[in-house]
Amino acid sequence: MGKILIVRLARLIATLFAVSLLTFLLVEQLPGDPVIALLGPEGLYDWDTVERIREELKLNDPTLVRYGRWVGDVLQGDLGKSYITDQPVADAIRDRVPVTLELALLATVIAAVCAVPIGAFSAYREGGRLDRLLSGFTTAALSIPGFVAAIFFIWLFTLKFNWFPSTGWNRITDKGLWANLKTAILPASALALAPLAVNARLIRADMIGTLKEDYVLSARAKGLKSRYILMRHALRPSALTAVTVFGLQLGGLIGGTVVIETIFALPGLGTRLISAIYQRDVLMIQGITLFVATVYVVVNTAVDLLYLALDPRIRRQ
Amino acid sequence: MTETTTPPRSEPLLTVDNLSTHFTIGAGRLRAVDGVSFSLQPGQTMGIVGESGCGKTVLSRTIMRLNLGNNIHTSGHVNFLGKDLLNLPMSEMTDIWGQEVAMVFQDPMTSLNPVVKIGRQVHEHVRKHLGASKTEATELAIELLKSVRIPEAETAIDAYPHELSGGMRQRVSIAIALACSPKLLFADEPTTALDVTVQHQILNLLGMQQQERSMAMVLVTHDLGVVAGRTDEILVMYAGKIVEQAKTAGIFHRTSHPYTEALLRSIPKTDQPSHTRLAAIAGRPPTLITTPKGCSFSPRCPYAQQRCFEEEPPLTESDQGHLTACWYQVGTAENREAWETNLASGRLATLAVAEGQIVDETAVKLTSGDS
Repeated sequence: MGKILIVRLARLIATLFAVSLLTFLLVEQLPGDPVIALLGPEGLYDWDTVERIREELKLNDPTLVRYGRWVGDVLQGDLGKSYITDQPVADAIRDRVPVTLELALLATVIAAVCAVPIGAFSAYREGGRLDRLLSGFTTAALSIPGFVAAIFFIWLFTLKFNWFPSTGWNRITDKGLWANLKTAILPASALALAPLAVNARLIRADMIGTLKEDYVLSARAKGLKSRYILMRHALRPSALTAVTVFGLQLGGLIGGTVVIETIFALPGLGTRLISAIYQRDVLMIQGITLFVATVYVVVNTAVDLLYLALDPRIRRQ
Repeated sequence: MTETTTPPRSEPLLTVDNLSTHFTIGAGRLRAVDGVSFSLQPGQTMGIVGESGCGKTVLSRTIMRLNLGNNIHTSGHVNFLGKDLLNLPMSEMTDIWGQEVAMVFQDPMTSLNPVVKIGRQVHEHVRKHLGASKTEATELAIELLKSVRIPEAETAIDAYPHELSGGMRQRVSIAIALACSPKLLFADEPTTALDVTVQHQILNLLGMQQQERSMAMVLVTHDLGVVAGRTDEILVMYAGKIVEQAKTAGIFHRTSHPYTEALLRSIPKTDQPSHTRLAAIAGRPPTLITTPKGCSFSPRCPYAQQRCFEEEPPLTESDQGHLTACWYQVGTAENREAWETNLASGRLATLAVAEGQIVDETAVKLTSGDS
């Protein structure tokens, strides 16, 4: 067990190195310059100032030297400062992360809570009317892009029913949970749609196999109710694939809320990352990417450990 | 759990009347069970014997209404404790399952849920049926595991199935089946997946528990050796039909149906010298989609005559309580005559049996000459 953890940890660190280096090199390839972004169009006529600022920010050093310096700083716990706003990158992340994290978690919860019964009952009624109806729903949910769903939700729930606001964000700390959820529910639902459909299908497929197992028949022969058999006997053996994908989805959601955050004008990591990219704000891009990648890798490692909880047979090895 | 001696002629616990189970599959209708009738007294044991695919598992599952799927057609009547089982609403069925009638499955490797602890698998339906609290149910589970001779029952309830051996798992399945003290137990090839020594233990355990609880049992098997000393009555099934039905002793001592005879012949005997070829039944069981006209065993029968291929023999009483479906029953003069005719005409199924007998006899002579 200890050995497994060490190997996992080494792999995790290697992944983060690779991600940060690739991001650094990619941003380097982009046309444009952070100093021009900082000074605006006038910068083009004032090369002395541009040169001075470049020198101050040490932008003239070779790429790998700058990457090495950044890595050194990060290892000492310093993510650096934004070239543009002078705000420490760590502060920016701390400021934006609650929004993104809440959206991602809420979306994951919505996806899981809906996917389990949809998957289970369509498997139980395989080929029946309910199954076909739910299959139609999941196909639709998969084929509609998130931003289209978002626009549909805004039309339905804001313009028609006026239940939820279409833009903006209420912080829990400022306005309380209910006001916060009101602003979070639409974007989270739009985000949840695709993972929901994928998970429901995975659970359905695995569950159809599980329901043919002898132990399900023997559970029936014990006189247990169908719902109990589905949830207590068939779900766990059918959840392994869905759990794997679930980890990938949660990681993906944390980095992938950009479009939805933009549509709903939410102050999350995604919108911050976009503006950093527009401004060639290298350290901000690096910081946010590193953060997202870390969360992604950690979540997936945690999911691997979750298998042990799901299937006692793996625990022995 | 008092030892009651059941009166010889009481109301039957289970009556099966003209039961048929047909599956519609691509090619047509598969007659897995075709017109089966029998009854079972409380506390009695019935053996159902036949080759793989003869419909014995489908029969027991049909009686228990455990056939899942929507391409199944069942007709006939099953009366259990005065209830018409086949037409009972599902909500009432779940009260009967596990409580009044239980089943031990063939393979304990697959019939226990790999991700649920033994304890919960033993007591979850006790809690549902008898409304026991969790602690009561756990105590009962430990008691049950002890009664089926599982060592260290207190720790075994926290084990997962993969941590137990096959024999132990089958004991757990038996404990599960016995948990609510059912009146009828179906044991569907309960020892087929186990080692021979363990088979013996499991069968003894089943027999003991059955007597202690004066529970009726249906023992389904392909092995006549398994049912020999353990049943009151035996049904021999072939191609979805009963071909012979009698008291256990009657089946062994006055075998009437050629198929039963062939089954008995195919049991290897320890007094045979090594490397004696096993006596197999020539040919294969018919696919149940196109059952041949006439007797379904006729293509493989060493005694088959013209009549056997044309007319299906009815199940008739050949002896007191001994039912057989055959035109040329074993042990009759007609049977002997049919044998001679077939031998003379060189019928393959007949020659195969005759050859086996000759090999047998010469082998016995050789060994007796050596000693």
